[in-house]
Parts: sequence; C-alpha cells; structure tokens
Amino acid sequence: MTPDNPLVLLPIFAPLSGAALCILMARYLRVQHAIGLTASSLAWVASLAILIQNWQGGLQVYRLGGYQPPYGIILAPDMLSALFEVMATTVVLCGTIYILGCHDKCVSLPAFMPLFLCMNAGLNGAFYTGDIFTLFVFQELMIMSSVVLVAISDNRLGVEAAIKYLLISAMGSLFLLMGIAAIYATFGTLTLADIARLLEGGERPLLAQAAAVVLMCAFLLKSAVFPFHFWQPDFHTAAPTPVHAVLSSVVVKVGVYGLIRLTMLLFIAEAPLVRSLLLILGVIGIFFGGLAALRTYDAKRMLAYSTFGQIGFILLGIGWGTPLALVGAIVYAFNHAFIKSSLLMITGAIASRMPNKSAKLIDIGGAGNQMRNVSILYFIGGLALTGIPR
Amino acid sequence: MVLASVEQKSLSKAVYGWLLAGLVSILFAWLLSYLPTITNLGVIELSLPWVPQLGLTLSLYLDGLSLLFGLVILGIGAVIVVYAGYYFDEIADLARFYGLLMGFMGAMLALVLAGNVLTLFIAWELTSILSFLLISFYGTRTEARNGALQALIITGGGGLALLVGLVLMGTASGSMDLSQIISNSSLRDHPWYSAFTLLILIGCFSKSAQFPFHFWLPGAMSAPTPASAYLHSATMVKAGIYLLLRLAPTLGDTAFWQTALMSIGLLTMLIGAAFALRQRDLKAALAYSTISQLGALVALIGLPGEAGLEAALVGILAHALYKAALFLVVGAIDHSTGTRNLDELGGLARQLPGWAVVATMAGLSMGGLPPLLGFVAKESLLYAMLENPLALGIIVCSAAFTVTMALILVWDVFWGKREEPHHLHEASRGMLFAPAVLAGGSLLGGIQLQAFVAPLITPMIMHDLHLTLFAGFNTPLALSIVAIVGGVAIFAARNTWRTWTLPALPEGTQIYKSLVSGVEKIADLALRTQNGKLRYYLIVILGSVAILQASAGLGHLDNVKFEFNSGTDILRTLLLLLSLGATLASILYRKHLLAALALGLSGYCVGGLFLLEPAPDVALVQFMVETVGTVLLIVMLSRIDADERERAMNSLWKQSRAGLVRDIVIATVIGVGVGIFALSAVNHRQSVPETIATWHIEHSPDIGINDVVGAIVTDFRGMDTIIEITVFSVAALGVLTILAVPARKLHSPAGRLRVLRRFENAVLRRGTVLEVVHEPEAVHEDDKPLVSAFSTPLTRIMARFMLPFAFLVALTQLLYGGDAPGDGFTAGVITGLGVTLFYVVFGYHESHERLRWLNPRWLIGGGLALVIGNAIFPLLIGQSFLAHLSFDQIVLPANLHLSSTLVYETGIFLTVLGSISMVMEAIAYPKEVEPL
Amino acid sequence: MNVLFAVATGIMFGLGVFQLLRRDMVKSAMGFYILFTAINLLFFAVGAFNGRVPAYVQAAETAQVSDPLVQALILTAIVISFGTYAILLGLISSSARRYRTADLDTLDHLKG
Repeated sequence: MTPDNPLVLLPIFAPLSGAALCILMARYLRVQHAIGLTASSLAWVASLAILIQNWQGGLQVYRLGGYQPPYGIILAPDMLSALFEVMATTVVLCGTIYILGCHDKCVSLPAFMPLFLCMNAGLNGAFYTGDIFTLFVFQELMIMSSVVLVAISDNRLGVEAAIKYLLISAMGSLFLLMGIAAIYATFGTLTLADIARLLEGGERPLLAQAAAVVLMCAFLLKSAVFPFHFWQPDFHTAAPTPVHAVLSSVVVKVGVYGLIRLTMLLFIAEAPLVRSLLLILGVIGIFFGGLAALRTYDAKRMLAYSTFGQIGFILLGIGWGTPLALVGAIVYAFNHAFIKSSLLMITGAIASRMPNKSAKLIDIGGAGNQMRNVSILYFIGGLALTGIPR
Repeated sequence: MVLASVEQKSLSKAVYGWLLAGLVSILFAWLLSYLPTITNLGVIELSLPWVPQLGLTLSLYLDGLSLLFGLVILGIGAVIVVYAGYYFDEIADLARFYGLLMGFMGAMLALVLAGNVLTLFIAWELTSILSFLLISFYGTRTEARNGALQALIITGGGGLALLVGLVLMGTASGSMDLSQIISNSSLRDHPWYSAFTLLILIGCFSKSAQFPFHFWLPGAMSAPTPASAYLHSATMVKAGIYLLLRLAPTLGDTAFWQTALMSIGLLTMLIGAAFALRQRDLKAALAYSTISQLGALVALIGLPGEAGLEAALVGILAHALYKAALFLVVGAIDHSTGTRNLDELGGLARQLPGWAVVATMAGLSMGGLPPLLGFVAKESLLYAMLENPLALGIIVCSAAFTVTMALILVWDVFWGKREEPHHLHEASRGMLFAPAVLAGGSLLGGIQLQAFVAPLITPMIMHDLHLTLFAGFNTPLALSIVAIVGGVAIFAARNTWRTWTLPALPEGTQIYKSLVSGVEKIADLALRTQNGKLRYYLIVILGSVAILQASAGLGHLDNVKFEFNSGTDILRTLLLLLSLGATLASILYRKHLLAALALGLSGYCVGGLFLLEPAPDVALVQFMVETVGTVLLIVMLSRIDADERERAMNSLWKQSRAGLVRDIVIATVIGVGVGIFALSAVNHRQSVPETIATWHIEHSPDIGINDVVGAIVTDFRGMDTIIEITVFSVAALGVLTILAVPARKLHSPAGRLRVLRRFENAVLRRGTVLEVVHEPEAVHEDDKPLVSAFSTPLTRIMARFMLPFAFLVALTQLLYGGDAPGDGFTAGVITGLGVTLFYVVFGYHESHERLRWLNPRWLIGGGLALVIGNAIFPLLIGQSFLAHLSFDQIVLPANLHLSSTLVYETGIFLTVLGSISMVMEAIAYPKEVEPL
Repeated sequence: MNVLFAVATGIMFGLGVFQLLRRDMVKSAMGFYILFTAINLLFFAVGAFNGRVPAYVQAAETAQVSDPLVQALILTAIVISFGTYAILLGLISSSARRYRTADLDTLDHLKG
C-alpha cells in the first residue's frame, strides 16, 4: 500500500486557503496579489513535484481523513492526472502573473482574486480526485467561479455569456449526476478505481452503456465539442483575459481528461462505441472550428473558435485509441494549452492597449508595427498552434 | 543565420554575401566529400532518438539521391547568396532575406537528408512556411500577400494529405523509418496501397506544382527574384520530385502509379509550356516553363522500372542550373530597367553584354540545344519515352514550345530590335558572377558529361552511365531536331499567334478563388448556427443527448418489480402527485409570484417525501433551502423592472404553435428517456443494500457520531463538504459582485453615501472614486422614507425576536448535530433566515444599522479559514489531513463532545450564515422590498 | 414504490425541461431548479430501501435504514444546486438591469 503523500493536497488546498485569506483581506489589493501568487506558485511547485514522484514511484495517493479508498475520499494522481495538473498549474501561474500587470477594471475588484483561486482549486481538484462524486463537486466549484468571473468582466456582454454558460453547463452537471446515480445504483461505490475493478470483474449490466453515454455527454459539454459547443465562443470571449486564458486552455481540458479516463479506465468494454462517436465529433469539430475561425474577425473570438479544431484533434487522438494516438493527443493537449494561453494573453495585452479596448482584427491591424517583439511572439505562437512541428 | 543578423553598416552588403557563400560552400565541399563513400557503400544512416514514443527519431539517411539534392541545394544556394548581396538595396531587407533563406536551406537539407518520414514531413512543412514568408517578403503589396496565402493553402493542404498518407504508409509498413519503408517490398500489395499512394501523390503534386495545383507557382512570383530562383525553380518545388523518386522503388511500378504519374506529368508539361508563351511577365513565363519541366520529371518517374531514373536525374540537374540562371538574369533586368514586361524590353545586349551572353547560354540549354546540359536532358527524356508514341508527341510539342520560349527570352529581350532607349541603372558586375557560374555549369556539364555529371548520378543507378552528348543519329535526335525546327517556326510566327484569343479556360486561380469564396460561404453558414438564442442551444444539446442515448440503449426493464406495501406508501404517492401538480402549476401560472409559490410547494412536498423515507437530515435541508430559495426568488423578482417582467410574462404563451409543440416534444422525449434511465437504475441496484454505506454505518460510532448521514458529510466525505460550502460562498460572493458591478456606475447620489459606505466597502476598495450619476429614479427614491411595506409593528417585533431565537436553535444544532438531524449547514441557514427576515421587514438601510455587527465578508472568510485550518491541524500533529480528532478527555456537561467535528461544523455555520447574509444584503440593495 | 419514484423523476425532468425552455428568464430559472429537484429524486429512488427508521447508529442495528451515503450525496447536491440557483437569479437580475430585458430570445447580442 502506497503511503499517503501530503504534497498531493497542496494544489487544491493552497488556492483554497488563499481564497479564504483573500476574502478576509478584501481591502488590500497588493496583499491579495501576493496571496494569489504564493498560492499559484505553491500549487505549481507541488504539481511538478508530484509529476516527478509519479515518474519515479508510480501512483501517488492521499486518503483524506485517513479512511480507506472505497469508504473515504481519495486523491489519486496517476501519470495522466499529474501531467494535466502540471499543465493547469503552469497556465494558472502565468495567468496570475498576468493579473498582476493587468489593466482591466474587473481585476481590481476584491472578489476577483478569491474567485480566481477558487476556480484554480476546482480545476486542480477535478484532475486529482479519485472519486467520481468529488469530481462533480470540484467541477461545480470551477464552473461557478468562472461564471462569476465572466459576469463581472469589463465586457458589457459578460452577464449574457454567463447566463448562457450557466444554463448550458447545468445540463452537463445533470448528466454527470445521472451517471453517478446509475453507477452507484449498480456498483454501490463511488471510487473510480473501485468502479473500474467491478466493471472489469463482474457481469456487465446494460445500464453501464447508458451511463457511459451520459457521462460522455457531460464531458463533451465541458470541453465544448460539437454539438455541445454553443457556449464556448461567447463565454470565452466575454471573459477577462487572464480568465479567458485559463478557461480556453485548461478548463476545457477537464472534459478531455474525463473522456480519457472514461475510455481508458472505466468503460473499457463500451470504449469502441464512445471512441467511434469521438472520432466523428472530432472531425466535425476540426472542420467547424476551422471554418468558423476563418470568418471571424475578432481575435479573441477567432482563437475561441480555433479551440474547437484543437479539441477536435485531441478527440481524434482519444478516439483512435492506440497508445501512440493517445500520447499524441496528450502532447497535443499540452501544446494547445500553452500556446493558446500565451496567444490569448498577448491578444489581451494588445487589445487593452488599443484605445477602444477591442480585439476586432480591424482595430488591431497594424499593431505589429508598434509592437514588433509582440508580433514575432504571436507569429511563433500561431505557427505552433497550427501544429508545426507537431 | 548569425551572420545574416549582424548589421554592420561599415561593410558593404556584398561582403556579407561572399562570406555567407563561403560558409555554404564549405558545407557543399563537406557534403561532396561523401561522394566516394556513397558511391562505394550506397547509403549512410545516422539515428538519434527524439520523441521515441511518437516514432520520431532524428535520423539521417544519405544516399546518392539525397546527396545529389543536397549538392544542388548547397551549390545553387551559395551562388544565390552571392547574388542577393548585390540584389537588395536595403541592408535590413538583406538581413531578413538571409535569415529566411538560411532557414529555408536548413529545412530543405533536413527534408532530403531525413531518415524518418515524420521528420521529413516536418521539414516539408517548414519549407512551405518559409516559402510563404519569402513570397510575402514585400508584405505591403496585396498581390504578394494573396500569392503567398494561395501558395501556403495549396502546399499546406497537400501537406495535410501527405501527412495522412505518410502515417498510413508508416502504419502499413510498421515503421516510420525511411530505410525500412524503402526496403519493404510488400507495400504494393497492402490493402491501403491506393489510399496512401493517392494521398502521398497529392502532397507531392501540390508541392511540385503539378496540374491541377500548378497555379500557385506563378502566383508565387512576387517573391524577391533570388528567392524565386532558389525556391521556386531549383529546390523547393523539387521536393515533391525528391519524395516521388525516394518512394518509387517501394510504391512504383504499379498500374496506378504509372498512370497517375504519366498522365498528370505529361499534361502538366504541355500546359506549362503552352501557357508560358502567353505570359508577358518574364518571371511568370519562367514559372510556367518550370511547371512544364516538373511535369516532364514526374512523367519520367512514372515510367516502369528504372528506365526514367537516369533521365530524371539529369533533368533535375540541368533544370536547376539553367532555370536559376535565367531567373537571376531576369532579376538583373528588373533591377536595372525597372520592368520585366516583355512588351517594354528589347535590345538589351548592348547595354548588358555580359548578361546577354549568360542569358543566351542558359536559354539555349533550356531550349535543349547542343552542347549544353539541357540538350542531354532532353535527349535522355526522349530516349526514355521511346516506347510511348503519345508521350513522344506531347514531349515534342512541349519541347517546341520551350524552344520558342527560350528564343523569346534570348532574342526578343537581348538581341532583337530595340524599341526605345531604356533608362538603365547599372547592374553591378559582381551580380553577374552568380548566373555566369550557373550557365557555365550548364555548358561544362554538357561538354564534360562524364567528368562532371556522371559521378553525381552513378551512385543512384546500378549500372554504368550511358549518357553521351552525341550518341549518333537516332530517333531522339531526329525528334529533337523536329522540336527545334518547330520551335523556331513558332517563334517566327509569334506576331500572328500573339493576337489569338484562346477560349477562356477555367483558370486554376479562378477555381481557387471560387473555392475560397465557397468555403467562406460555408463558414458563414457555420457561424450562423451560433445565433445567440439560448433556447435554441438548449434544444440542440438536449436533442443530441436524446439521440445519442437512444442509439446507445437505455438499459433494460425486463423485471420491474412494483412494490406497494403500507399506508405510508399511499401518503408518499399523494405527496409525489402533489409535488408534480405543484410543478405543473408553476409552469402554467403566468404571474411570477404564484409560480414561485407553487415551486416552493413542490419543493416542500419533496422534502416531505424525504421525511417519510425517513431521511430527516435531507428533509430538514430541503425545507430550509426551499424556504430560502423561494424568498430569494421573490426578493429577486422585485429587483427586476416591473415592465420587463410584465413583457416577459406575457410572452409566456405567445409563441408559435409549432414552437410550443416542439418544446413539448423535447420535454416529453427527455422526460421519458430520463424516466427509463431512472427505472433501469432502480432496477439494477442490488436487492440488499450492499453498498459501501454499510461500512459507514458500522464505523460511525468510532467517531462518536450517531447520525450516519452527518458522519458521512462531516467526516467520511468531509472534503465534499468543504468544497460544497466553498461553492456556497462563491455563490454569495458572486451574487454580491454581479449585482454591485453596475451599481458602481449607476447609482449612489451623494446623500446616500454615508449609509452606503459599508456596502461599498464590501464591494469596492478603499479609495475608489465613486462615479456620481444622477438617475431620475434614484433621486425620487430619496424623497420617500426608506421603509418596507412589510414593516408593521408586529413584524418588527417578530423579526427582532426571531434572530436571537434562530441563533439559539443554531447553537443546539451545532452542539448536538451528531445525534439529531441538523448540522452546521442547517444552523447557518436557520440563522440566515433570521437575517433575511430582518432585511424583509426593516429594509436595507435599517437592517444595516441594526446588523452592524454582522459582517458577511468576515464570516465567510473566517468560516472557510476555520474549516481549512481544522482540516490542516491534524496534519501538524502527525495525523491525516481532515482526520477526526476527539478531545474526550475534556469533560463537558450535558452530554457534549468536544471534537474536531464541532470546530468543523462551526466553520460551516459561519460560512453559510455569512453567505446568506451577503446574498440578502446584495439583493436588498438598493431598492426596498415591495409587495408584489 | 421506488418504481413510482423513478417514474416521477422522469415526469419531473420533463416538466423541468419544458419550463427551462420558456422565453421568460425567471421561468427558465425555475425550470433549472425543477431539474435539480428531479435529479435529487433520482438519487433518492436509487438509495431508498424503504427504511423503517432514520439512519442512526443505534437504530441501524435493528431495522432497515435508507442508504445514508445517498442521503449525504443529496445533501451536497442540494446545496450546490442552490448556490447555482442563487447565482442564476443574480445574473438574471443583473441582465434585466444591464440589457433591459428578461426575455431569453432577446438576449442575443453574442452571436456569429
């Protein structure tokens, strides 16, 4: 039995305690910034350490409250979660640093940093947890914080985007809960590893297939895959830049992570069905994203649409299902996360320097002349986004 | 690269060119030194792992073919570099050009030396991108940008096809290594053969500008001339040829391969040669003639066996030499006369004598006249095609056209009549060096065939080279003569045919344009699906889930057991029906208030069901939440403008019948689906509760809690609860912030500032300058006394007594939470309800004065900190995070236990109380609560 | 009895979907709430074992109790859905002020 590794707690509880402290320190922006930066850095360092430990010693676990897995909640980052987590904490750390120098008005609201940290905690928890109901709870934390963050954005349409996302993502939460109910009904347990064991061993009730599809829909919704994609361009475009960076580069990956878990760990027998669906949806996503991005003339929105295509490629990798393709999908997910977030931050920086704070291409045309270094960065990022060298 | 970036104005630009060329030549010499080894050994391989999981290895594969291409790349590259040093006027342009050119050279070398198809592909894409950058070198010109984009789209699209093809081929052969793929002879029989071959061919054809992808090449001519000479005639467009040659031993020699290559190649050859004649722009003409030559090469590769190999190799060499030279000459003409339009040029030989000689030499080589290398190339081409009369006919025609083209280039521009004096801008003498070397190469290669050309080609072909300049009088020679005579004749008649108008063929560019606009239309359609209507989004999402779910099956319902035992079941059924009825009522009521009340009733009925189960904890929370929720909804309603609500209410049944039917259908389908899902879930559960909960029931006493649900919530699954209350406080924080953000801009007349201070303090930072905007409504509100309509003496007394009472109840629940229903959460909600009553009765401002001691922000922050701190504390004393600590040694009266759970519950209580107060405070501001 | 619960879950879900699809934002929010109630019913249907007594330790040894874990899950779900509901109401109120509309179909500034 692997001993408990307290380091696993850090990526979740550092931001969470940071959020509590930030609420107490609401009056002092600088203190909040310091807290946020500390919490994000701690999470980042811890996630890196866990990745390394995973590399050397396999699965790391933490049994909360000291209760054994099926009965208590367990945090169990394996290699996959550790990788995704490093990706998430890195982007979030960059986002936090961006916040420090960001000129948006909403960033200086006292609630901004606590909410950002809560989103962060939800994100990290969703990657680390080994319990399907806790996954739901963490996801909700993430969704709620991000909804509020978007609603208070400087963008006047933030509230509209937030309403749309909240209602649509509620559907996802409902499906997730339905799946959890079905799983609990059939197997009487909530721990992922336990479910996997029972699914592997016992007879396969037909309900498992229905549950697999429901869960798949929930995760597809989270990662904004056609035809569950409608919220994504609105929600991401209206978000404040640092939040946008985190949302479109790592928060959508929670869905991807869920899908990988679903096909690799839980529903291995149902995997062919899920995979073929993923392949189809991935191809549609690639085309839809590419086409839509082509005719969108707002840089932020264009990047949001291009996320469809990127997620589509990742889905292709998952759908193809061979280990090689899966590695490809994960590498691609990484690439996308880093590049997309950096591009978004650059776009945000450019837009905030424009007189009308607009990211419409027509407004920011020629910005490259004034900001030569930035434009070179952008170009490199753009190339990397198209996948060269992939 | 490094040199290129150096900007030292003291040195002349040309010096950089020479230095850089020196470097490139060293590379060239180094590569050349491998020639003997390759001739003897055949191939050198070198392999370094890069991303082994992906099958990516950085392996190098050097054989005769790579060597030949590498020498062409480096040799011509060196010459071009020298030329460019004289060509550019601006040092900044030159630096940028060198940077790009060196990058390209590296990518191209990587392409031909790659020992792995994936590395090859990456290099392939890199060349496309660098070509894009070079074409759009003068990015301010529209046609440069369009041409560049067109080239990138065509070659990039081809690249995509190539990638898929290569991956399929790699999968089929079981390795991504070039050497293994080449040595794999069974690929031809693989079931995927046609698929991947077709994809690879598309990639190669688009790169090498074959029909129907050829049109990007003339469009690419807006690149600076040295780049055109290098990329678009000598090297990059030959990448496709390289790959074809590379794969021909493995994939070639099938009917499919031969037909595809022969037909496309010959067609391209003819089209290119014919179209070249119609161009008035010298560079465009050269581009079309390049297309024609590439077609010939493709056709040669399509020949069975290795018959065409020799001719193809000679052709590559010959074409690289003369075409690059001609491009450079054209560049010089452009440079010195300012035009490259045929109509404006003529008789340049007197002004540019050196250039005239060079151009003549290269032009004759292009025309295929002895004793130049071009002649050898053409002879061997004809020789290879001897078996195929149709091919011979096409070749002779194309050759004739090419001769005409060469004559136009040489005669009309240099030797022919001079129409008007040109205003010359002297071309530097050093500039002549580059084309002279190339043209000299053509001549030397032709005369000293065995000495210079043969060694380069021998490693590639198994047998000895039987190339000669003059092989006696045979059919190819006769045909050659026919072509030359024909070409001269066509040239002589040029004034006649130049006036002909050809039937307007659908030009590739037009097809491309209509394709682009078509794609844009589809894209607009795709964008139109994003129509901003949330209801439509929801319908699509729910519909897709229904379809997916239906296609996957919903589980099975074979043995539904219907149990209906006792009297309580009747009560349950009644409650269930009541709940459903109330829900339906909430749908049907037009008035929001009534609908809200009906919804509340429905929730209470569900609570009643929980109570009957019996699940008292859940029932209690359900009642609480239902109460707060209904109050919240009603209070919130008062905040929405009455007119808007009225409008929204009236729109309830005013949609089209079809829309209503659609909604009903969706609702029914989803409802039935979920119903079946629920049924099969119920059906699947074990008849005896064999869940992990049995363990929970057994172990609850260990932590001194009798209420198993409470034990699970606070201990076994304590983290869920931590996150849950965090969600709750996020909600409170969110509501406050969301409602406050516009308030910051809209209201806050100066008179109210004092009262508002605390609220603002919670929302804004100290020192924020409040924007004072006078809104008509806000001002007139100030006139009224700020009292709520609920504020009667009775309610005021009630509210004042309720709060302490609520605190008392909360305290009991906290202390005895382990033994009875209720815990920190319910305690918080009960107290919160007391606070809510305050806000409802006293209104915002008075409540504020009265509840000054209650600061929601501190409650939330403190509560969360307490909970987390309580979770961390066991870690400090060597226990698990969140572990249960019991302090039973401290004896307390009245059956109380002091344990970490109590601290935990207190934290939850504070957080929940703070959250509810915060929400109420936010909602109550700034309007008074009014009766609806 | 559980069968009845399951059927009721389906009906309530259907009602919730219908209510969610109204143009009136307030009604839509109510629909959202109904949907979560329906899911709670589903959990309840899964976990109810026709208990005779509440899930307390002394009682559990003697008589059948309802699954306490499911009850705990429902508790969490109720709280979370309530939080979401509160935010939704806040958003609706804010949107009514900001865009002067409470009609979902006119809330379409973000498109394309």
